[in-house]
Amino acid sequence: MKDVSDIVLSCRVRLARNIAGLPFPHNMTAAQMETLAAQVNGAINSNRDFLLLHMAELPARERKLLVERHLISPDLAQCDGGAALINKDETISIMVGEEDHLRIQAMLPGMQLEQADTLAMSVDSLLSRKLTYAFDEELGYLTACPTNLGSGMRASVMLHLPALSLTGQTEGLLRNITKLGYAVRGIYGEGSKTPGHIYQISNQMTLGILEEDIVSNLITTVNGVIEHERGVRDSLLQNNRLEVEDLVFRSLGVLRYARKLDTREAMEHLSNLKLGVGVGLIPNEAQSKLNRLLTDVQAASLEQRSGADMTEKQRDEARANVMREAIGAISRMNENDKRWKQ
Amino acid sequence: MLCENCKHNQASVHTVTIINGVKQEHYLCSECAMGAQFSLPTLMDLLYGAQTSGLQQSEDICSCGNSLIKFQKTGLLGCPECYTTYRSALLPVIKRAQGGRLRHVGRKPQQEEGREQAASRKPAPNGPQDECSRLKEELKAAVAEERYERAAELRDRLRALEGGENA
Repeated sequence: MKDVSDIVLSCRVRLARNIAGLPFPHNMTAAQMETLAAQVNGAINSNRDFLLLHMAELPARERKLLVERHLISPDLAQCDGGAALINKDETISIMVGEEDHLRIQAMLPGMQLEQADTLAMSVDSLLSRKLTYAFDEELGYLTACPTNLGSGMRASVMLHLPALSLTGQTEGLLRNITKLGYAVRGIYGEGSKTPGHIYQISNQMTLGILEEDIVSNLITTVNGVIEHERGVRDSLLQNNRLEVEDLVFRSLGVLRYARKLDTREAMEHLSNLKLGVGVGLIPNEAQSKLNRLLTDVQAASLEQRSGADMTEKQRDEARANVMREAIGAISRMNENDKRWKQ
Repeated sequence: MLCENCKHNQASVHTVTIINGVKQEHYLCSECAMGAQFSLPTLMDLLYGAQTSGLQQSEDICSCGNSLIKFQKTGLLGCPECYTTYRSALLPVIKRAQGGRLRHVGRKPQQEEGREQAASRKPAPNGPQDECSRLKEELKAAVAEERYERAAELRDRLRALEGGENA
């Protein structure tokens, strides 16, 4: 398979599960919620592979950090009775007491949707030996909202689509995808404003379809989008090489020397550099570092690094510092590369 | 253009939502958009396809205390048992939300699996035997729900699986 790491950031599979005989979380008492978290912890964490985090015990900044790193949902972060079990390499997160009793999430970098499914399934299988799930022969896994019934599975892929986005083609393409039963949303932004051109595509239907088909259909759809993005990148480079080079290297200059950066600006320039790697203007080795920066320059990550709450002004300065350091290292790494010298 | 709610003031707010490829647009004046007279499409509208007919109400109240009225407001049921209590009222909603499908065909929890399967359940893709029986089940459901395109797809996959190399 062709390398798609310049376009696919990560894959996620999330399974919604509930315990039989227990009201759904919005209908539970604090005591019931506490018992549930303890039960789940007892069912899966005898080897202490997971870190158990009770939302009520976490400062707001740390909750926000977990959201930024996609380890918990914004909804769970707001829920004082909720808890999360997260494994050491942060590939598995079990959210307790969100909309459903359990949301088992497996997340892997790049295009590894099938592997993420296998991972989520193995956790699900372990839990189902100790807990009695609410399950109906006809409707499958019973969930608080009927939109998750059946498999309870939401599979998603996070994509960086700068070429489609810069040429104004995302809206049409993504609208077509929603017709096929997928939801598309921009990450790091509201509505059409998606700094960084990062989008998430996920399945909408969960009932009456095999898990394997949810996964393979999504892979097919995503491959189509990737092909489209590649096509536009190629033609951009062929027909507007100077503009593309100017965009990429201007961004390199800004990130290497700026003293203040707000999130929007940082994301925009990072996106341009990632595009630069994609079209071969910037060496491949920079890719993982740039991906890492996408989360490192978010507000809570910056505050975590400094160990204190910060004002917006302080964050803008810290963001520029983090960026300069990382981009400087990438530049030094590749000082002999002629592409950087011209 | 006049506000589609009060039909009196000029519309100044335009909202667009796209769900499953269905675009919904609303033109409202700022007062109506701000006020409570008009609520933008809720999850329930989407589930009902914005029809106003609403849910078939039920006399029974589930033992968890959650009524269908509450479900209509929040989109959430009170407990797993609600699916039994309110089944007939919920089925049309589920059908709409799930693209016409009403029968689970995927994985089952450990305790639900038959004795014969329990031992072979591993965190790995299932064998062809398992795949066949699941495809058959989905095929049955697809035919029952008159989704013939999907049924044809499934039939072909089954043939390929059962016929092995010769298919």
